[in-house]
Amino acid sequence: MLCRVRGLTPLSVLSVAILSLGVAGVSNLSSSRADNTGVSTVTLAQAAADLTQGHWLYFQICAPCHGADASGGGPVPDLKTCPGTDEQFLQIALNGVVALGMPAWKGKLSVDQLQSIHAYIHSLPK
Amino acid sequence: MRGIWGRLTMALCAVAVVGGVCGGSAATIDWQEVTDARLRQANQDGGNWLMHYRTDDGWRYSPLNQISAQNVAKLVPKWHFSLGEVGDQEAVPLVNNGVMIFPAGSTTRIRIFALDAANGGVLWVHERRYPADLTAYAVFHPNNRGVALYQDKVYFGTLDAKVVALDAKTGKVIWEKSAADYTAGYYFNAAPMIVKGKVVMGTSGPGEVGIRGFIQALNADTGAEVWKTWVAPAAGEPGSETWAGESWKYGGGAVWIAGTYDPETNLILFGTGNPSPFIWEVRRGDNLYTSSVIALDADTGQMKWYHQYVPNDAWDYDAQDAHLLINVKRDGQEVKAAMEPNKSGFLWTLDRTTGKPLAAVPYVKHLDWAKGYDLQTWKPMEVPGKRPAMGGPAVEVCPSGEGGRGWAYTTYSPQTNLLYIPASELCMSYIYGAQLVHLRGVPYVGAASTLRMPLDNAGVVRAIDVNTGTITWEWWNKAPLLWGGLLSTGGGLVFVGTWEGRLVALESTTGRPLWNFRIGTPVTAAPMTYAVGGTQYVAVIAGGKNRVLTPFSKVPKLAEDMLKVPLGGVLTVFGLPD
Repeated sequence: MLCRVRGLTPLSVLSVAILSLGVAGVSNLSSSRADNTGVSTVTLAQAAADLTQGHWLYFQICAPCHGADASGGGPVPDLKTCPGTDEQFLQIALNGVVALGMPAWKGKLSVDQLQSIHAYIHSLPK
Repeated sequence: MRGIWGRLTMALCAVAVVGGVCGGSAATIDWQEVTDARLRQANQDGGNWLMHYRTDDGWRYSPLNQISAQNVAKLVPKWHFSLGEVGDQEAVPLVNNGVMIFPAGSTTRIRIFALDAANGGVLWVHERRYPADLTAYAVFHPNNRGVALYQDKVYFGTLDAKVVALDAKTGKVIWEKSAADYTAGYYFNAAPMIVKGKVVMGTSGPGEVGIRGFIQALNADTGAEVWKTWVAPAAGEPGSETWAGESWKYGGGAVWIAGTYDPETNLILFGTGNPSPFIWEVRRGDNLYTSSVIALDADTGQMKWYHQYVPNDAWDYDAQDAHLLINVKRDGQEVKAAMEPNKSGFLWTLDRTTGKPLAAVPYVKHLDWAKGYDLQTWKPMEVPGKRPAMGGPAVEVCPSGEGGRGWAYTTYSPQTNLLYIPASELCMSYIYGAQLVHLRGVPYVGAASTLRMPLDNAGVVRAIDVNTGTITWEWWNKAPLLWGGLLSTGGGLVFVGTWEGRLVALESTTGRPLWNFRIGTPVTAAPMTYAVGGTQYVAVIAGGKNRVLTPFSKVPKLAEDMLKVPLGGVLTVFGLPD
């Protein structure tokens, strides 16, 4: 349903993050996140920043329901393992599934912020 | 008392709906006006349940005794009513001379039902749809805990922060008022209370969304604001010095449930919720008047006294039970007291005329965040290391943030002089984990917990002598008793609902279980009792609570037991066999 980052596997996100921590200050190497959705190419440093932002935003916004480790529980899905594309993640995150308890974040969080959350979820150990 | 059918005249179907979908039926009801005198003297009106706690004092005690310890074993369900929702049902029905009125809410709509209290026949239904952009915690807590009755109107709050008045005879809207901006995170879970022509209620949301809690009084005839009192003072106001910088602006202090009212002093006592965010380091200071009891003048909303239970609350220890107004004996003297089993695990007794603390004693066994209270300052003697630090490791602390008692209602029986507390023995591993940014309408918490169950059972009803503080008896249940609450009756009974889906009757003097019935879905609302035509009934709404399943699914001793009971939504009414 939610979890696969388009054009960038979970492993590559994590690798980018780890690598960027080891080469702090190197900002011109690009990962291959760009695709026909219009998501722009990002740098290694940007990817790390995304993960940091995603971490904080995840903890602030998603953890109250999905748990600090994103594993959900009861009726709340485990975000680390559920299948899905980036578009599906954004669709649900922006519009919500209010009848099932998932609020709509449109107007409150930007697409960039939501994508950083998604990237962070993919960085978590399964 | 005669049955409602003798006083009903069926009318053309004309359901009252605002901005929603029409459906249901309507009837003309011979409504008995709910006057101030009837509300203030509700303790003498055994057959009715006119207010959320039945009486101003918050006792949830009914003198009805037709159903008693001697015959409760014969109790049978008389009728059921499906609420048409799945989960998140926490309401207490009200009954006025044979007419039962209650809400059933969800994330997409709220319906108010008026039924024939004798047989469940539908008199009218009011439905209103919610907008799709409800904020996160409104979706998280879509429950509605009840309505209020006054004169010929029914009052309730909504998830989009409206207060609505309906015609009690038809369900048609008389007035509605946007009491706050729901897109900022405000909503209403609590049942309103009626005091001297005013609809008084506090707002849910602030403690978790970073907005300011308030209590508001509206003119019951028109909806016009009479007064509004903020929980966190603004800059320059008394108490503002207890907030670092401008943290008061996002300071929280939700008011989750109805207050209690003392006509002698004209004071309304409200418990207030935790400050926001949960991370104490970003709002240093005591953070008045969060996690406190505040006494408001019913005419003006002016705060007459307060007492803060947990200064700079770091653990979500809201004061979210009613403050029961009980006259207790201390040193041979009668004291006009208010008692509240605080989420922090301490049972408080205060002088309700002045707010002076009289006692704070543990009512749970697992309590380690404080050694007790300094009897001079009445500040907690905190145990070092129990406050998490931003970026630091998790701390182990008891009780959990769910509380030694959640929002479940306590009851007091003047028959036994016992206070019956729905307590829970739970601890938590608690961590601060977010570099928070305050965003409008977005969660502003920053903490996470993992629950731990130290014993084989988590739930326990404790009967405590209000004069001596001694525990007279206990009754244990595997799942915690954090939701719903207790009812005591003149029949020598205490009723308690469980997450396992049972309604249980205990003997009020011993705690001995005398009867139980498997409703089949978690009982997360408090039972009540009433009489129609000389026949006593016990009613309870059940359905469970979606939010609860996530944290408790990680508690090995509880997960299977709690997850296997399906959520639902049903009102069940019991009586003795014909």
